[in-house]
Amino acid sequence: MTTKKIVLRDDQMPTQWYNVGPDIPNGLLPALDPETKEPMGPDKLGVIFPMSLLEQEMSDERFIDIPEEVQDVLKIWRPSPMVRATSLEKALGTKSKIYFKNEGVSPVGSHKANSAVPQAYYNAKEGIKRLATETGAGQWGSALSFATQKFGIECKVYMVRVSFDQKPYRKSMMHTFGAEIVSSPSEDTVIGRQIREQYPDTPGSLGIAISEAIEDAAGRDDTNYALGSVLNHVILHQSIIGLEAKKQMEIAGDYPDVIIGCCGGGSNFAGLAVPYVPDYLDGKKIRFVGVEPASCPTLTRGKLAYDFGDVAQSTPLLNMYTLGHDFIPPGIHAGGLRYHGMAPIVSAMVRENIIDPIKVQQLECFEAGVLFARTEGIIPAPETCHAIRGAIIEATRELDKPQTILFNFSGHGLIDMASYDKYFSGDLHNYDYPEEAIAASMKKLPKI
Amino acid sequence: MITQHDDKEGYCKMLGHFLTFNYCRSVSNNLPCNKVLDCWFQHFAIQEFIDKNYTVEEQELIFTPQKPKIQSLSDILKQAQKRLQESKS
Repeated sequence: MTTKKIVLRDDQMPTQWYNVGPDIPNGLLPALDPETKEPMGPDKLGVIFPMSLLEQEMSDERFIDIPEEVQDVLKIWRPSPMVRATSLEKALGTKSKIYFKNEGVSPVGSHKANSAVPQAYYNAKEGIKRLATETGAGQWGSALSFATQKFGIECKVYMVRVSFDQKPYRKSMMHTFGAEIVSSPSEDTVIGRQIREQYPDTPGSLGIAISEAIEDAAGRDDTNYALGSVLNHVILHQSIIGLEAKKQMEIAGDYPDVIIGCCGGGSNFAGLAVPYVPDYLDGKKIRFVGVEPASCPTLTRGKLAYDFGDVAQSTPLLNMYTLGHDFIPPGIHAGGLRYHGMAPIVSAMVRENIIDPIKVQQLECFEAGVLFARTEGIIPAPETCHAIRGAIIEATRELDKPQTILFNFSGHGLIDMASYDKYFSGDLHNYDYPEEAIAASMKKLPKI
Repeated sequence: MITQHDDKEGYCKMLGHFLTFNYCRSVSNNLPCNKVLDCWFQHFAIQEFIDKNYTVEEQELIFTPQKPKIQSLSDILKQAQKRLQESKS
């Protein structure tokens, strides 16, 4: 009989995170100050981040202990199960073995909690009483709301007004975890009041919400700011996914030929993949496939450039694969896949030909998600559908050459059923960004 | 008419849900989001719409890279500190 689930005991949960930075050939390039173009130290951000996280951001240690207090909270849902997608395999008629790491079992339904918990912990440990953050649809806001209450600190979430009005269930989730959620722009910050006075009917924007959260953190000694993707320390925290997966694959008596994840900011893909990088560098035959939307081909068609990380051109310059700082891809259906720049760690892995990026169309992704739901019984989040589509492509590529496939099921889609409604009603379309648009955007890259 | 596309619906990757075009054309101080061309070019003649409804000066404002994204922390922090200082004095 085929084993369906590989479940680790609590005492088998990893006690250290793995930091891939020191193992990446030719290393990571540092963030640069936008004004001086010099490497940017962590001190400038010490006003809004705890020193522990800034140290992790710059660390060259391969393994960093997971504090016991963090382990205790992670054990609410970790180790997460690894599941053999036998019904999906059967439906595809493939002899390949498809495994997935189910991160949808977290209290908030996605991998985001893996970093929210340690971020809340380190802030609490350094005497911080409140965290402020921004959220759009609410995935990160709900993860941080959950995490902060576990460490007895408050959480203030600035939720973009239009999302606040349209996404009641994420708001309910955050409330349930004890966070204070305000519609942004709010009356609680200088910038919020200024905008409300000038534009009383404004629906808000992510930019305003970020400004409010950072002003909140900057204006109070007891408050810091938190964010949930892209940065090195976030990927460090997410490495627990792959560390568990290695143990589970060993129990299954298997080893992955290919590891797959969807690539937005890169944290969920990297979380599964990075613990396998040392094996790869030791000569193990393994492929890392990062799946991204065809309408936002950051890795697939972008090129490596020392680009600004945001449209404001004010962020630390990060070494990322990007289509240019003013490239904004067409709207597609994956809330988590919204960074035009990729995490520096992921970009470096692409640069070193460790990751093989592929692009997929959104209709095929939803088709894959629906097949997965009907075979494996779990409805995936839209961004997770990308990874499933990637797994299906691999499993059916050469039917006479079966592979062992491992992908990251980054989250369930139970709070995003409206997306499925759009798919079923035929309102979604495939997009493929024109080459000439990308070329035009690339011309605007800053010169270093 | 500037409102002619207001009810059209598109997915906002920044926020993670669907929105009507009305939001996209007014989100930034009553001017369009600077991503409006990328998000709507496959839906209707958005460039034509922009040219018809906004002056060159307004278009410069629209497409000047706007604040912010998640990683523009250093700059946003400086602005916030300045605002807080001014509000106290």
